[in-house]
Amino acid sequence: MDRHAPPPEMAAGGDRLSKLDDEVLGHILSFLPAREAARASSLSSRWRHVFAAVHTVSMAETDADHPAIRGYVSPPYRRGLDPLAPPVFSAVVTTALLSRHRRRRHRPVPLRALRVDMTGYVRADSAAVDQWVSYAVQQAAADHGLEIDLRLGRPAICDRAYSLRDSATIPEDDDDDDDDNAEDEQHDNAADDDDEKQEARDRSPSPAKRARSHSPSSSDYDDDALTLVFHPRGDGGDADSYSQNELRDAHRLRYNPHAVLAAAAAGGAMVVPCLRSTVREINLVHYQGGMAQRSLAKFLLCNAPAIAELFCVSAEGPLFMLEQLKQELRGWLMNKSAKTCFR
Amino acid sequence: MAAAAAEATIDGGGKMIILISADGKRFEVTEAVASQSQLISNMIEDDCTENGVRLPNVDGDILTMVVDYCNMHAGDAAADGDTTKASSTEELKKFDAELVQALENPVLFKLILAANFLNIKSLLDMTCQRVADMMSGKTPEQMRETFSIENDFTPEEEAAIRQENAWAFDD
Repeated sequence: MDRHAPPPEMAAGGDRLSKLDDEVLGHILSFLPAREAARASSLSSRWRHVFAAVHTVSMAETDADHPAIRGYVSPPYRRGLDPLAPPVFSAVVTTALLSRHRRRRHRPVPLRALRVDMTGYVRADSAAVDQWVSYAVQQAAADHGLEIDLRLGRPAICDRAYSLRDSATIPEDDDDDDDDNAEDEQHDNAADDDDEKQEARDRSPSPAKRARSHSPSSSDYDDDALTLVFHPRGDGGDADSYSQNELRDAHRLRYNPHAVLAAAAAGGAMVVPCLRSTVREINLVHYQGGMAQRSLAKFLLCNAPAIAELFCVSAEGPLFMLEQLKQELRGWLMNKSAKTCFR
Repeated sequence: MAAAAAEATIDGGGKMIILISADGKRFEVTEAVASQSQLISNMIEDDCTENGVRLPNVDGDILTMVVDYCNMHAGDAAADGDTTKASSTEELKKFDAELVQALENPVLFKLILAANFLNIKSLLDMTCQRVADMMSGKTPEQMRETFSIENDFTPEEEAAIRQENAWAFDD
């Protein structure tokens, strides 16, 4: 924590705000979107490095960040080569995270939350997203836990604005603690394996739920269903080159009975509270049975006692695998009387 | 008002703790109320609250507000928001909003200092959020005006900082 505040004469006169500790100023700026928080660095020399004390980085892609809306459309693979193109949003987020380290010989405060809302997400951004997640896990606050909330390529679940400002309280950290880091890494792997969208969908219901639990009046949206859509592996572009027959024969189902899945058991602390209490319906779409997907499904099913319905639409594949995966999912289900539907 | 709020919760029982402000004012609160402050809660655990807790950097006026706040919020920490609590949650919110809206800047900052020192998370969040609200949507010039922050940069230095944080300024 940086307590080496500049000499008090800097904050002369009526400027009591600048007299507060870096820690407190960082806490104040953490309620603002990261861009606004970083702008404060130009206020005065006192504020120059306060951004390093910001523990919550929230960024939402605006229309101005969207290349197509700005009028630039350079294909993703060319983005680095086009000198006229505006910086892509994922690069802006990376820059924001690195800005925490600008001050020499000072460590930034541990990160408590990273929230990114990126509607213009494309596959080429996935490497950057992986970097953010691993950065956040490394920088996580030991005593506060870490909240990662990524909304990639999809609209927000509810009207909650994408900064802490409107949620009336800072996110409660009691659902994450130290062991949560392991959990985050697990999700990170899942993201590597398939597609970040999976992670985004997995994570996003929780803040929405939190927002709801804090404001009972706005409970008119119904979000106790959790849907995971798994995307087929490989480049989307390749699908065009398959003939109709190849597509029909290609099976995308995998089942390795010997795979060791990450332990889904959880001390009460590390499970997202909304998963425990409100999720009544879990939908798995295009479930392929890969390691990451199975770990994720196991984690969700083993920690959702309130579940009443499970729908699973598997990828195409041989019947015996389908049966294995089905049995496995049924086994993980906490509420054995829940309605299940496999297709 | 402080007295009225205190009496409402006082019969909750438990040990009483005496808080002493910088200017020597004494406040008697229950353990449950005082332990919303992480600092005091730690002191209670360590059993060093016998002769009252001296708070040398908190003024009497500010401590009055803090004690008011803690009295109002004493319930919600214990009974974790159930149906019985629903109506009073609304009241609490209203109380908080009024408390924080009514504050003048210098008092607000003193309250932040006190909340930070006493380590009362919810009060610190609420007050910091108020300051963040005041900063939100403003240009640096407007922020300086709002908080009478003196710009001690030369124009070149300021330009350099803007350049350094170009990602934050260009939208």
